[in-house]
Amino acid sequence: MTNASRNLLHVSDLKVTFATPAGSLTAVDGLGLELDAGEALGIVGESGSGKTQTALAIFGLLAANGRAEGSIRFRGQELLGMARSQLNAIRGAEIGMVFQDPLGSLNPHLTVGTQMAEVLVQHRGLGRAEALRESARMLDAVRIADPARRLAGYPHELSGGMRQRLTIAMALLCRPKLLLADEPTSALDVTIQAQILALLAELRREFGVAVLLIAHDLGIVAQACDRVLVLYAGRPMEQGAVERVLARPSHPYTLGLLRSRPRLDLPPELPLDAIAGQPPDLLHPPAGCPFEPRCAFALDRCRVEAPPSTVEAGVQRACHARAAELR
Amino acid sequence: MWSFVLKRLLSAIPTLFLLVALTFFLMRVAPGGPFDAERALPPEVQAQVEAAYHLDEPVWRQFGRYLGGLMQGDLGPSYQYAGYTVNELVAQGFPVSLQLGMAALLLALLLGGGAGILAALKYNGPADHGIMALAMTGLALPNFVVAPLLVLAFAVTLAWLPAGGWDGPASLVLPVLALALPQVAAIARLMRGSMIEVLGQGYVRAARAKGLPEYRVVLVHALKPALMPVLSYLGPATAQLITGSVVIEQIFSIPGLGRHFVQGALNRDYTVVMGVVVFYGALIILFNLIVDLLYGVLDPRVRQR
Repeated sequence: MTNASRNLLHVSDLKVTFATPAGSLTAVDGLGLELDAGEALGIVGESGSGKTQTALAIFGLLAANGRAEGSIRFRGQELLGMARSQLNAIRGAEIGMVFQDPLGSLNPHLTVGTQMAEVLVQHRGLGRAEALRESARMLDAVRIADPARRLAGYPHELSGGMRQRLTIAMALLCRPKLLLADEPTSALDVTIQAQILALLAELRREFGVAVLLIAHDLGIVAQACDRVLVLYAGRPMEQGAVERVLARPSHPYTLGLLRSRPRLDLPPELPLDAIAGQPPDLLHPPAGCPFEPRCAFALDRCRVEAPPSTVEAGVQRACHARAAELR
Repeated sequence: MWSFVLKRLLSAIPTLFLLVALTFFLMRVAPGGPFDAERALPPEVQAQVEAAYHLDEPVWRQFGRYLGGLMQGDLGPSYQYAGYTVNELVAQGFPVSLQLGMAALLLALLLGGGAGILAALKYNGPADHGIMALAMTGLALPNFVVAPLLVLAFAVTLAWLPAGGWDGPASLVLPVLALALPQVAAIARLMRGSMIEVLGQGYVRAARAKGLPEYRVVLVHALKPALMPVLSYLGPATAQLITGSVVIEQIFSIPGLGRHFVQGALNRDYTVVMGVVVFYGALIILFNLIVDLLYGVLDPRVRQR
């Protein structure tokens, strides 16, 4: 309990399921994570591994057929099952969210100023004029030139990189304690990506905001985060300090991810060392370890018994194989 | 923007010309004439009347004469209402139809829009299914069935409201209801569909993520984009509503444009029918232009520069 209140965000045993015509689909299962104030945690995993659904569950934004169970505590308050009005006092104010597709998450029918000012009007009770002045200051902080003109304009008049700066500025307006960024750079080209990551790091220092960064790219997490959580088929595989997990992965899946990266130091004609096989069907999750069919280190018990989460040398892992054997 | 309006108005000229030509010649092709009666007039009287209205001239000359008048805004004399010009008949009937139509339009927008939004918010719930069942009924029932039923219930049985005529607000209630019901249903269905789509958009999710209260998410973030399909429906629907419903005005004996149209068609009152058709056509073109301009108001991405 003391632990939960010291943490900024404490997620335990999170399970997200969706009722579909084909049956119940388990998108996230048994996820736990802790995030301290000012810390940056990266969640990595391939498409469909439950990264985005985890973020949406924290925000109470799951689709109508979705259900979240377990516990999500933010500064000691349970978010799951919280009344809408209470949750609204937290989202946008104490937790900011940045979505993957900046254009899609900006309303094309409203001016940039309206969309920014409404956050401050709602949460801080500012008047519109004051809210617009504050918004201009925040646009300045994310390096958008000529804020006054931008506030009067519409999102479609901005470039892709500027739009993402804008959504970041919008999420930070109320100086939240936590910023949730769902693949904030994957809709952007590489140079803009680097700028946005640099901006995030800078804003983290400036505002002391903790960041939960969702990515499918280990490189981005390595650059921007203190700790990393590797998700596979909705289940946590490995969690620990970035330099530790990426330098000496203690889970076969993390190892596979690292090996499948394109490398500049190898001849380009060499095929990528991709992980063979497909992720399991989430409508019929396996009884054992979900990675077992694709795992080079699988043991007999992996098929029948899901490995429990254990902590070894500061790294949390869910694997039956011994870490030392993974080479 | 003004060059856009001018362009659109200029492009309306060939459309209107085609409309005029089609109705003019189709009317002449139909058997019978304005002065055919049960008992034939003496030939010399008939000839004099036809000469007075230039009906003895070749058809192409009559057409030219009509076009000439039309360009000066003159819709010609009525053949049936002696001493009246069509302009006067339109000026008399249109304000009545306009009031009726605007009231019906307002009712349809508020009721239909509200019901559609509610159905979308309760998507797949009992409220949604109930509203959609009602809307389907509203669409399926023709107004010549609805109107007499309304009269039977509220005018004959309950005697709350007059069964017809045109005096005072009470006489407006039943015809407005009958006129609005199918529009309520159509707008509710359109509104629901587009609202469901808009509520699934990323920017609505982002608005919720900002902690905005639900009414603001729906009314500020979702309503504008959701109104677009409703707006394109409203253009022609408005023109149709305010130019008078032939059926409703007949049933409630309302002295609007629609009744002139029916009487005109039955009596081969060529100029009256032409006048109403041209007027209606011009209004449709006008309202479609207004809708296109309103698109720009709702969506800055299509704004005309």
